[in-house]
Amino acid sequence: MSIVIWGLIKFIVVLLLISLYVLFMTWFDRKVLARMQNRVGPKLIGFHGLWQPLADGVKSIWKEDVMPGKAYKFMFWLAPVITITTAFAISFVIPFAPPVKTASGVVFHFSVVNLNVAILFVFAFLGLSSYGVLYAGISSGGSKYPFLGAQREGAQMISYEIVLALSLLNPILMSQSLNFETIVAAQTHHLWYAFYQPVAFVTYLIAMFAVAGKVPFDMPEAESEICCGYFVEYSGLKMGLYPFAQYVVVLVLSAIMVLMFLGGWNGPFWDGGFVAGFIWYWIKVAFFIFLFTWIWGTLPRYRYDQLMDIGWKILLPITVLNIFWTGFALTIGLPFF
Amino acid sequence: MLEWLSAGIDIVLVAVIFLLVLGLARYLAPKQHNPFKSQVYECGIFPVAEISQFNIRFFVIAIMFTLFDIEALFMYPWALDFKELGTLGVVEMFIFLFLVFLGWIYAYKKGALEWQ
Repeated sequence: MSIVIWGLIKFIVVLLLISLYVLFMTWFDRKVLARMQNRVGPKLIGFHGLWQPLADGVKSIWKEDVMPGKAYKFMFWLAPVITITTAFAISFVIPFAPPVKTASGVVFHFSVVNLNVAILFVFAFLGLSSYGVLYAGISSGGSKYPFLGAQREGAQMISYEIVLALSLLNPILMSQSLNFETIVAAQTHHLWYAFYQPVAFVTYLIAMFAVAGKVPFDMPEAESEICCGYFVEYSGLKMGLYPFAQYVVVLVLSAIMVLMFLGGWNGPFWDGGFVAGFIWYWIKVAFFIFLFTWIWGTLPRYRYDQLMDIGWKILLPITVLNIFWTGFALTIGLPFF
Repeated sequence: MLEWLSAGIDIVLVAVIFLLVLGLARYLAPKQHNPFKSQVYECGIFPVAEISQFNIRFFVIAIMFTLFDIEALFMYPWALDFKELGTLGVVEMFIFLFLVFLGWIYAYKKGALEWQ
């Protein structure tokens, strides 16, 4: 039973920390984008506008809840909750710090639940998260923009999930485990998997942006074509839950990137136990979170047919051929494998 | 087993917490009814027609997704037991991958991946 109680305690801590992270990230995104475009960004509320996200959140709670007259009410309410629940469910299996061996010899894990098939769990809930988007589009009562946006987002997410799954297969082949902590342990005293699998690293990096729905693949919310995509009809806090979930997915995908390809809490030097591991891990994760904002401020958007071509005609055969190569190299035992 | 129970409880809790927050926001928010507010969004003009059809391309993509996701699902257990299965397992998986890849080439030639 102690696992369940510890799980509940860790769940509350993770929920609060991720909510704080999302609040801070909205401020950070706006500030960094403003600086990239030679603007100032939020400035008035608090120190350099640091309280701005809090003010926005309070404001969105007091917003009137407008709903199209023909909307399917149940699905309309359920859709944002599905999106946020699946995003948080993925974050439950991510370790937030290296595991600690307590004095009694029990290993303490810093993930809410330490599953032995954590990666399958991640893919299960990434797949489910497309339901939140599709429900939002269908339940909006025949509104055009949500319907189009939901189809686009759904097709984009499932297309790039295959690329994501097949690129993560290479580190799994090399470590033969689906548990994040075991995979990180396999990279200790060893080169990181990004050096063995540069192709899988790059394909995961591209697919990561598409699955999170961020620039350059933020097709579903292409402002100039279909307004805000699948959440046009939403208002107030219900609308706020979609960007919320997106920020959680960005955090989780960056953490998976670091755990699978960049050695998790192993650093190139200074291997000093828990503190060093913690700092290395979060430096790397923070870099990838910043990369999302950086690319947002840098690249234009792809067209939808280009997006599908990249996914199905280029990335998919490359990942399949890469699995051929990895299996071949591991079987004959190449010197670097 | 307990880990899965814990995960299940936590997932249900997240859903309940966010439903409660949404309910609270609905309770706090002002309600001023206006027939124009309950119209669908249409850039300021009156909505002409509802949309209920979708492009067949999305359906084709969904079928292709099923095919390749099952491929990925078959490969995860193989990747886990890679050492135990040995060379025979690798050859079998390569044959399977090759067949799926042939399916991809067929879909490509048939134009299932084209967006006009």
